[in-house]
This record gives sequence, structure tokens and C-alpha cells, in this order.
Amino acid sequence: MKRILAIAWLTCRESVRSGTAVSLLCLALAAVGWLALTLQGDGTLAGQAEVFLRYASGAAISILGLASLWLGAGRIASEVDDRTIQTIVVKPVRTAEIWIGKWLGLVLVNAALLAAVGCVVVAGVAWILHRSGSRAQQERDDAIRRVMVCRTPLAPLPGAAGEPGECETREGDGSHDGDTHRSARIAREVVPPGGSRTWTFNLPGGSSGGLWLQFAFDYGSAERLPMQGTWSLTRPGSTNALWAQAVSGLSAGRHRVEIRQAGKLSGILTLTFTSARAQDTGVIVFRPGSSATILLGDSGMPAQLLRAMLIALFKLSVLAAAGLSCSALFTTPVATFAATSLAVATLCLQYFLSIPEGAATPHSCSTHGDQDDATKAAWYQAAADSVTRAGATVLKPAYSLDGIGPVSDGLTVPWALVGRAALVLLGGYALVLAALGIVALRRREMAGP
Amino acid sequence: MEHGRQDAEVADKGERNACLVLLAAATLFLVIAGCLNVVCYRDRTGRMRKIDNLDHAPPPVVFTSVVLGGFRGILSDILWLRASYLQDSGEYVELVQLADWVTRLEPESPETWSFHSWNMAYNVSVYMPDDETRWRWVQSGIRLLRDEGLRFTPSEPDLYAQLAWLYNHKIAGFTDTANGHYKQRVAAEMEGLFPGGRPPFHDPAAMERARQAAKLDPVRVREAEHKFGQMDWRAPETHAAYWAYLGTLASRGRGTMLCRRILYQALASSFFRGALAPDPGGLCDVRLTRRAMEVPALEAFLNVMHEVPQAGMDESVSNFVHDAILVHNAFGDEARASELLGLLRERYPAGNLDASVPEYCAREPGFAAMHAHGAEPLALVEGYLDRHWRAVARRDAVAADAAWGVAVNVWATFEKKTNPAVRKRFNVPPFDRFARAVFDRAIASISPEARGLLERDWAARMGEKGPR
Repeated sequence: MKRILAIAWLTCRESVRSGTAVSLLCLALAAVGWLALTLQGDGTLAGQAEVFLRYASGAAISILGLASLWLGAGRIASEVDDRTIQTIVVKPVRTAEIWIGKWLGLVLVNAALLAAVGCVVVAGVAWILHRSGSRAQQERDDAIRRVMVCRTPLAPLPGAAGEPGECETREGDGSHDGDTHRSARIAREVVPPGGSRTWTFNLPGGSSGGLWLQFAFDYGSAERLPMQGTWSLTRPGSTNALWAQAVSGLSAGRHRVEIRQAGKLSGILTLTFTSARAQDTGVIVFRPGSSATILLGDSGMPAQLLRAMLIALFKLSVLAAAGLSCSALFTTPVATFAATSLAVATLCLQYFLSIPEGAATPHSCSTHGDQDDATKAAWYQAAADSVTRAGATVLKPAYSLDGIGPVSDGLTVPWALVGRAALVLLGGYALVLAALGIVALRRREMAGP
Repeated sequence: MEHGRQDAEVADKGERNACLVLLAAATLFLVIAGCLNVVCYRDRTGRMRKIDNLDHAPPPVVFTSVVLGGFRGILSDILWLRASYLQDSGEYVELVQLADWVTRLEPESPETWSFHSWNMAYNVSVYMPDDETRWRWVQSGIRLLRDEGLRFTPSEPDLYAQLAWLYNHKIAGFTDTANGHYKQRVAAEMEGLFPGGRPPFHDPAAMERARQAAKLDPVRVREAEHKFGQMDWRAPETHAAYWAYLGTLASRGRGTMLCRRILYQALASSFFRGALAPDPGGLCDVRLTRRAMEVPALEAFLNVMHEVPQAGMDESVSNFVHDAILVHNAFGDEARASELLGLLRERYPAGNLDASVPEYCAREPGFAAMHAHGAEPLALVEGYLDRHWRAVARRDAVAADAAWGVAVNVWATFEKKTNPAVRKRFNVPPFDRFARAVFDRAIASISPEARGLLERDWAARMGEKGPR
């Protein structure tokens, strides 16, 4: 362990001495500063702060990610090229210890840089929210309450109406089973004019941070007409509303309403939405998977950003591991190219996976066209599908691990997610890359003439 | 041996000649390529769009334009895809920012500015829950074009046309249910810059403030006023006319037909509702006619018709002239109405045009009911109310009663033909508020002695709750 720490320390020291760490810090802080001065959001103070939080963190992490990849790719290969690695390999140090030590050094440098960036981002958000300007005090207070507090979503209890996730929808197979599920989905997501929909929640007592209701309407048949209705909270079996709020003029998209009497509410509660639309103005459609949630406001944004930064650090660690493993396999330029290509391919795959299924399906070839072309197109399509499926199987667990998105949306990042990120990213990807890198390094000729 | 040396010399000479030929050919091809390159370069330069003002562009735009080079397009596509994805998901917070970045990455493309401006002002704004939030999005669309797009591509008439259309259709028009709120916000903003809706040409500092805030160039404002007459700059139609006019001047007049069409539409709208009624208590939302706009509107119509003679244009012009005759007649300006009737006879000879102005107007009793939107019937009511109070001022009770009767009748017909929701969308005020606005305008232009007469008439008529 001492040997690993010694190599890690050397790597850190070299990063500082060579000016790499300072340059990266300056670059990341310059990006954050530039965004703080230029971002405008949607014209509201809260929107500006949210957009800054998302983009400033994202920009800094992107810069550090790219730097991790390139630093890792240049680390071992360049030391082999200029033979400085011989000063280490002649010592009683195992190959694995060299690899791990260098990786740990890069991780520590990244951790320090991320900590600095995190502090500057929080300071930037506070500056945006508090700087003098033409904003009204009320808007400022609302923005602070919206951005500086993170809320924990409370999932509805399984009930008669059910919730997505408990009942996976299967469609398009034409079977009776598919029809049943489609009917269940319609019953779950569609509210007819004058109709209602209920959810059951178990609210913990003693929450002092306030309660919010978050709901999302989908684009329905009458999408341009404003949605209107009433939300209410009642005890099961009772008709007396503990809280009620009429909403009107809302459009498709996500909305958030503060539940004012939060202190009085705890235990099992039924949330009901009753549509106030007239018969001829169409149904109201809730967005699948995120129809309604109660949010408990219980944590400050900086603490949640710290957790998000931890997840980001794990991702940077994987990038550093990828760079180092490429560096153990190839010479510096090839390793840099290979690592960058790997990162680009991963990002492209993430984009392809984000496209809803069926949206990118090419039109079937015309019957008048060349049969060979059709066969070739089908073959290419099948090959692309196979590659995408294989990539998705390998990388999908990593794509779902996002901390910055929830924090900028005002949601908490649970420790469970941080733990899962550590397990998947460090225990999974980084470990595999480490094994690959160590094997490659062991086989590499390092004492050439 | 000697023989061998001669052979070698011949071979060397042959090689040298071949080299010379090849060299000459290479030089020839190089010259041809050079000449072709000049042609290609000229062709490419003609096809490529350039930012007009890169020298004065802000550092981020210069940086992205120069450093990113061809990769700007890829980055722009990625941001555009994200914007589309977020919009489809109903997440709008980032859209203004993304639109700003996409357009700055491709500042030379007018389509990009147009698309994002239109998207925010039309597609996104309608999903907003309240009028003020809607206005914010419409304003974002306007600002993107007016403050940024035209800064980089000031010679693109399409961008002027797009901006003028936003003012003329989105704000001055009635398609958006929040159009009344937009009109009020534009009026409030302009009241701060041009008090009373008139440009303070004597105050360069105020004109400079207007240039900074609303991008109204003092020279062009003066030019527009000189060309079209005095306009109320609190009315969105005026801004539509101003930007369309600037569009007609852009690109040395090429490709400006759309701007010229919007120009005559905006001037015609100004004729019917281009003035805000005076209101000492604040900004009044009652819109009155600006009859002086009829001349430049007609001129703009005829200019376009002269260049693009189309059947549809003929109908537009004759409709406008027809409506203008009715409005001038309502105000009692028979001379101008008669001139316009003469123009109709000359250009569009058809039946029923041989009559006198009163006869011609009397044949159109259903004017108020024929028009779906509120401006023209209100202009007619305004005319008869104005005529009524001028008759009161000159103590002509018969004429006053007759004019009042027609005004009330047209108003009643209009109310009968439209439902309250439609009237709300068209910002039609209650009769007493509308009549008061016309009364205030009339009383401001008569002698002090006659004011008492008008006050008594108002008390007598509206004290009995008017026509209701």
C-alpha cells in the first residue's frame, strides 16, 4: 500500500509541478466564471440559477473528464517513451502497483479540482441569486427557496390505480395481454373531462422543510388547451380535504406546487386530481412514469452538490482508468487517439439510446428498389442494432448515474445512488479497465535500448 | 566507346527534353489551376454567407467563429438536438439559453435566427400558464432577432420581415389569447422611452436610450415619421411598420417583397387602431384610429401592386379602400371618402360605384357584422361618435342625434354578432369606456367654450347608462 501511495503522491506532485493541475483548475474556473456572467436562463432568476448550476457543473466536469482521459493516455506511454519509467520498474514494485498508484494519483488530482469547482459553482449560484439588480425581493426569495433547497421525491404506494414500474406496459404485440396492459395504462394516465385520478402516499411526520407536489402532463389530443383541475389531499376514506389547490392554465410539461399546510400532514394520505375540463375539450394525460410525486424539502443544495460531485468523481476515475489502460497498450499518440475514440463512441451510444424506440427506424425500402440494396440496408441495420444492443448492455448502467441533473432540478441525490455509482463505476468499469491495463503493462517492454 | 558516349548523350538529351516538356506541362497546368482557383474562389464567396459585422461582434462569437471553424456546425447540431428534446419533454428552462448558443454558433444563417425566434415566440409561449410568462417568451423571441440577429446580419431582409411579423401578427393581431397583455406591455415599455408615444427628437439622450433598449435608430425613426407621418410608437403596428420599412432598405432592396407586404398590412392596421386613447390615469388599452395612416398605407399597397400585379392584391387594395371610405365617411370627411371612391371607380370599375359617398355607405349597413375582428367596426363607431360630438359643439342637435343613433346601432349589431369571448380576445372595451376615450379625444381638439356643451351632453347620454 505504501508503494501505491508513494506512486500516487509522485503522480500528484508531477501534475502540480508540470502546471497541469493549475492549468486545468484555471480552465475549469474560467468556464464556470464565463457561464456565471453570460448565462441568462429563461428570463427568471430561478431559471438562470438552475441553468448555471447545470451547465457550469457540466462544463467543468467535461473539461476535467477530457483532461483525465488525455492525462491518463499520456501518463505511462510517455514515461516508457522517455524511459523515466525505468526509475520505477527497477525498484521492487509490482506492475499492478504502478498502474494503481498512477490511477490513484489522477483520482486525487481530480478530487481536489472537483472540490474547488464545486465551491465556485455554489458561490456562483449564491452570487446570481443575491446580486443586486432589478429583480423584485419576492422573486429573489422564491428563487432562493426553489434553487437552494433540494427535495426528496416520495414514491406513491401501490394502490388500485397502480403506478408505472409495478405494472410494466407491453404494447404492440397485438395480443390480448397487450390490450389489457394498454387499457391499464390508459386507466392510469388518462383523466377524462370531469374525472379524477388518485395516488396514495405515506408521508413521514416531522418534516420541517416543506412539501411540494410535482406533476407532469403529457401532450394529449387537446394539447394547446390549458389543463385545469383541482389537487386535493385527504385521509383514506374521508372526503374532507386537508389541502386543496386549483390549477388552471397549465400546459404540457412538469409543474410544481407548494403544499402550504405541510406541518399538519403526515401518515397515509390520498392525493386526488379532478379534471375541471369541459366535456368537449378533451382528456388530460399524465406523463408516464412521472405523473405525480410528493417532494419533501429537506436538504440544502450544497450538500447535494457534494454527492453529485462524488458521482462525477467516480466517472472521472473511469475515464482516467480508460486513458491509463490505453496508455499501457499503445504509444502516446495512439493511446490518446484510442481513448478519445472510446469516449466519443460512448457519448454517441448514449445519444442513440436516448432516442425513443421507433423514432429512428428507417423507412422500409421501396419494393421498386434494388433487392441488393434492401438486403444490404437490412444487414447494416441488423449489425448496427447488434452493436447498439451490446453497447447498451455494457454501458447502460453508467448512463443512469447522474447527480448534477437532479440537483439542478432541485432534487436530492440519495446516498444509495452514490453507493450504486461507486459500485458500478469503480467496482465494475474501473476494475475491468484496471485488469486490462495491468495485464497490458506487464507484457509491455519497458527496458528497451 | 565513342559510339557508346554518343548514345548516352542522346539518351540524356532525350531525358532532358522529356523533363522540359513535363515541366512546361506542369507550369501550364499550374497556371490553369491558378486561373480556375480565382473562378472557384469567386463562386465560393458568392455562395457562402458571411457575418456582416464580425469586426464588431462580441468576443465569444468571434472566438467560436474563428477557433471552432467547421466544427461549429456539429456543436450547433448537438445543442439544437438537445433543445428539441427538451421542448418535446416540456422542459423549457434551458431553451432560451440553447437558442442563444445555437444562433451564436451560426450567426451567418438567417434561418437559424428565424427558427429559434419563431419557436420561442409562437411554439413555446402558448404552453405557458399565464399571460406574463407568455409575454416573457414572446419578448425572448423578439430580442433574439432584434438585439442579436439583426446585429450580425443587418442586410437580411428576411429577418426584418420575421421581426415585423412578430409585432404585426403576434402582438398587434388577435390570434393569441394574451394579445391584449402583449399590447399593454409594449405600450408600457414604449411609454417609458417615448412619453405619449412620440419620439423626443429634441432630447438626444432619450433617443439614445430608445436605441439601447428597443434598438430604434433615431435617424431611421425620423425617416419613418417623415415617410409615414406621425405615429404612436406605443402601438405594435408602428413597430411592425418600422422594422418592415428597415427591411425594405436592407440588401439594397433585393428580396424585400415580404417586408413590403408586411409594411402595408401594418400601416393599414395603424389606420384602424394605431393610436392609444389618451388617459390621464395611466396607459389606456382603448385603441383609436389614426386616419393619417391611410395615405401611406394606400401608397404601400399600390407600390407592391405595381411590382407584383396579382388578383389577390387587387382584392386586398379594394377592400382596404372600401373600408377607408366607410371610416372617413363616419368621421364626416366626405371629401377624402369621395377621393377614395373615385379611386375605386378608376381602378376597379364595378357596379354600385356611381353613387355618391353617403349613398355608397348607406348600401353597406352590415359593415360591422361583416368583419370578424373588432378593429373596423370600432373605427366606424368611433367615427360616428366623433361626428356626434362635433355636431354637439356646433349646436347641431339633428346631426348629433343622427350620428349617435348610427354609432349605437353599429355597436349593437357588432355585439349581437359576436360573443363575449371573442370580444375579450379582440380587446373590445365596454361601450362607455370606448365612448369616453373618443369623447376625451374630441374634447381636446375643440374650443374651451364648446367643452361645456360636450360635458353636458356626456352627462345626459351616459348618465342614463348610454345605449345599454
